[in-house]
Amino acid sequence: MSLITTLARLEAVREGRARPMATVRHRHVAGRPLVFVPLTTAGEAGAPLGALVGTERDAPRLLMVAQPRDRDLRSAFLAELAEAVLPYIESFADDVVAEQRKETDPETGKKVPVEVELCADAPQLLVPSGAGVEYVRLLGRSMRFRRTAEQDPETPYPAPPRVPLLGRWLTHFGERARVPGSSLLLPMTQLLGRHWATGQSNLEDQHLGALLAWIDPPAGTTGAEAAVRAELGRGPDGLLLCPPAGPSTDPVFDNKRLAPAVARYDRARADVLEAGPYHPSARDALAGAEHEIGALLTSQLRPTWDAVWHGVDLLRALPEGARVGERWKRDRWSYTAHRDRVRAGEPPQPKRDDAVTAARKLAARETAQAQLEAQEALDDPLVMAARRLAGEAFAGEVTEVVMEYSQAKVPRPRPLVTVRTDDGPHVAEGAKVHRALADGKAQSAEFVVHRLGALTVRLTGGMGRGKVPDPGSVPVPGDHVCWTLFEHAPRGGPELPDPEQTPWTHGGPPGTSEDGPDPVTAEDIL
Amino acid sequence: MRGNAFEARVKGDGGAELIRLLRERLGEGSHEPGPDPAPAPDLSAVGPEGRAARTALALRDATAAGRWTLLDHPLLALPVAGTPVYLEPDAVVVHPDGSWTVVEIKSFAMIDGAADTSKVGAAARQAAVYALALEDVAGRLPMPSGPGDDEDGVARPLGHENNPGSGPGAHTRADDPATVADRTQGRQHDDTGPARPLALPEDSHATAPHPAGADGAARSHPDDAPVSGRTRAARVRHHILLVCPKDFSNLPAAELVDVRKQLATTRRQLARLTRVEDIAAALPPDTTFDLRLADDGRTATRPAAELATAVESVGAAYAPECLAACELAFHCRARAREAGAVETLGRGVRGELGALTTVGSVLSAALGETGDPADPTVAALRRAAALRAEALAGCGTGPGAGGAS
Repeated sequence: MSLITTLARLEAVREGRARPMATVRHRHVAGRPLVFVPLTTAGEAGAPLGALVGTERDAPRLLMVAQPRDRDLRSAFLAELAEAVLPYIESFADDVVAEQRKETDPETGKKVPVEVELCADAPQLLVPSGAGVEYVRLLGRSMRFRRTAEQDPETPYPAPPRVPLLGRWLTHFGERARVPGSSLLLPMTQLLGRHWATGQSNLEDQHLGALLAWIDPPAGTTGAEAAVRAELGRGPDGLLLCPPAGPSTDPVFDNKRLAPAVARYDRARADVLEAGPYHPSARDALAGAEHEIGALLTSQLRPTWDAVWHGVDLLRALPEGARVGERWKRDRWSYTAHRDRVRAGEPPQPKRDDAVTAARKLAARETAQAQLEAQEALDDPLVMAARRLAGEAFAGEVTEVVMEYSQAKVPRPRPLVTVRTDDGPHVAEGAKVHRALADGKAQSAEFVVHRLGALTVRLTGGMGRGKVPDPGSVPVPGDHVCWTLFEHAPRGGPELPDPEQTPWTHGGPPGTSEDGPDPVTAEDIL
Repeated sequence: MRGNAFEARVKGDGGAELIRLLRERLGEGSHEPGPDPAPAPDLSAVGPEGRAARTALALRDATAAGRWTLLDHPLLALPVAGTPVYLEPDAVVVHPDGSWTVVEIKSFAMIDGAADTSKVGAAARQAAVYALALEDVAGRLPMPSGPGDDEDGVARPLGHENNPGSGPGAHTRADDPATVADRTQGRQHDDTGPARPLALPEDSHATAPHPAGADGAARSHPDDAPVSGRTRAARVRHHILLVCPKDFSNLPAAELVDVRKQLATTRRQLARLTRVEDIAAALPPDTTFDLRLADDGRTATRPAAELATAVESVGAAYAPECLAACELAFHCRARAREAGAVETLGRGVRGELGALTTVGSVLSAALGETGDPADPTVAALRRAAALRAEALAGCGTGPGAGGAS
């Protein structure tokens, strides 16, 4: 945590409500996101219990597993989930725009521009917390290797038709969520935590109810009081007023309410089996028991569902950062690429990445992290303030501009600009510094000297081609400028070898073995 | 519960399956299949002292027998702050060479050979405490006679392992102000009774198990290399066996996890704890945390207010990590917030703010009301406050902050 963040948290303690940590929104929030609030069965690592899913805040779709140990009911749940999620994901697939991209021509080895499709927009999944993201990954892993009866008529427990496809999509979302700055799958706690500093620790911020209580406390209470109520408050029935955001449930709820309801459901089902499917009273009893479990799950899920939408409202109130759209475009590329892989009939993502894929992913994430840090700072003076405090940038008023020219045959303008600032950047002579121009391009300069609260830099670019700098490209005394020591568009490292060229130290070229479905045992939980 | 069913399944058949998993992970070629695993000894006895003594006997016999033996739920004693604490690992396996492996069976899944890192870390810390208690038992077993005494494979007394960080220096630092937190932490944990597993304040990261890594390490680390026959002395292995359900099934998957780091941390922290007697001496003489359980052994009859007063008399050293580990954490948090302690925002915050330990003092220093401007912390705070205020005041100007405005 930087000192500025700490200070913001301390301010929040004093004020009794969260303080801004950003002046703009740094993540894309879709116009029509899909909110997914899953619940899992306690003690049955990974077995789904229920979920609310949908794009309309007033009309969530409840999916449930009345008896989590029942394989058929779990299958039905996953099939329903696929039915609820896949149409949303696929609805973005056909609206495309043409994009120019440079690709290496396989024959000549030259880079040639080609026109490719890019989806005009992409789906966005919102889950309540980081644990929800992990759960999406888990669901994806559990489904993508399943076989449907059509793919493999011999399979003992065929998956419903669209379940493996949903598994591949959820895996893609889960994988994309690990790329810094991406917005395909986002946990609400992380989104809010990025933009507001609460008067509690990061660990406590993982509780969506407590986090929202700090950001938007109910009238007449402080954030601290409201957060404690969200964490610990229990109603007269012993249940938490603000149920956990999942996927795990409150043990008191499990023991006091859910377990008896599931037991009643089991009894009703046994009665139906005994009395036959056409016995009206037994069927009514089963429907009643099912309805009861549904109502119980809704009571636990609905507060979290509403909290996620509350968070969406808070985030939408912030203006979007200037470079957020650029990052969202990369998410659109990611979505388009996976759409193409699915359409090409490629096999599901492997259980373990081979060496080249893993290295590529890692390099891509490192680059994304560097770009995110630079872009957030450029978009937001509050983030830039932290970089200035850390000595990675400086800002101030231009006091003097001295025109100089380079010694080359055709002299180039190399003006010296002096900036008065209290910042203490960690720069050495000759170090490169950068600033953003009005048109969004970056101008570079060399650091010359730092004396008595003023820094002098020599502009080295961004002034056009002529002997006279382009208008507006050289600051004039009185201008307020901000120079950074970090690049504005950092690039990744050198290219990696082709998969076929993987050295033996890294496992050699990837094998062709495909991951088969998991062996199914009588006690499988997913 | 599935967890219990899974544990019973793993340990079934006298531990044959568990021992098979362990041997598979160790990849040991030096031991011939040899005799079948010995039947799991009966460890039942009256009272914790009796069970612990019974466990020590069983460990001695199994070590002497030179066969694979599974000890199901042994009971170990470990002195914590001068008071014995009883610990019950899921299982301990005695190897034919006389070495011991702690087995930890968990119900979280290991998917494609990797499990949740935080859970693996917690399991490693938990198992390290068991390994520490076992080393204590090993140290008290009679040494085998013969010339092999000083070689590897001989039990070493507690605190003289090959971990340089845990040397005698740990004791001399007991008056370091930084240890205060740990000490009082110890108090709160002691309050909750000896049956609790230790929750250690400092996290040391365990890596998620990875077949190649764990395996390779197990083989290459000389301390865990199989001892060649001659001596059959008790020795606690520094790799524990973590058993989890494999993927989405109920089949067991096992990995060896290196706990040397956790052992060193635990050892250091235990050495720093203030003795319970000293803590008790500083309290009002009639302080007690007795719940006065009714005859059914479950219902507490002590008035809540009285108990709360007793708990209040002990200092609270809170950090947000406590929330995951301790039932008294909310109590300690409330007191820490009341006192305005900056640790409520996270452990790291304290280090950042130097001598300023309360929210009020930090804020007034940042505003320039108090504090010495020559103090680098105060200067940095004022600079941070000024930059933050400037950025917030100018946020109406919109994006493009990086450029000329």
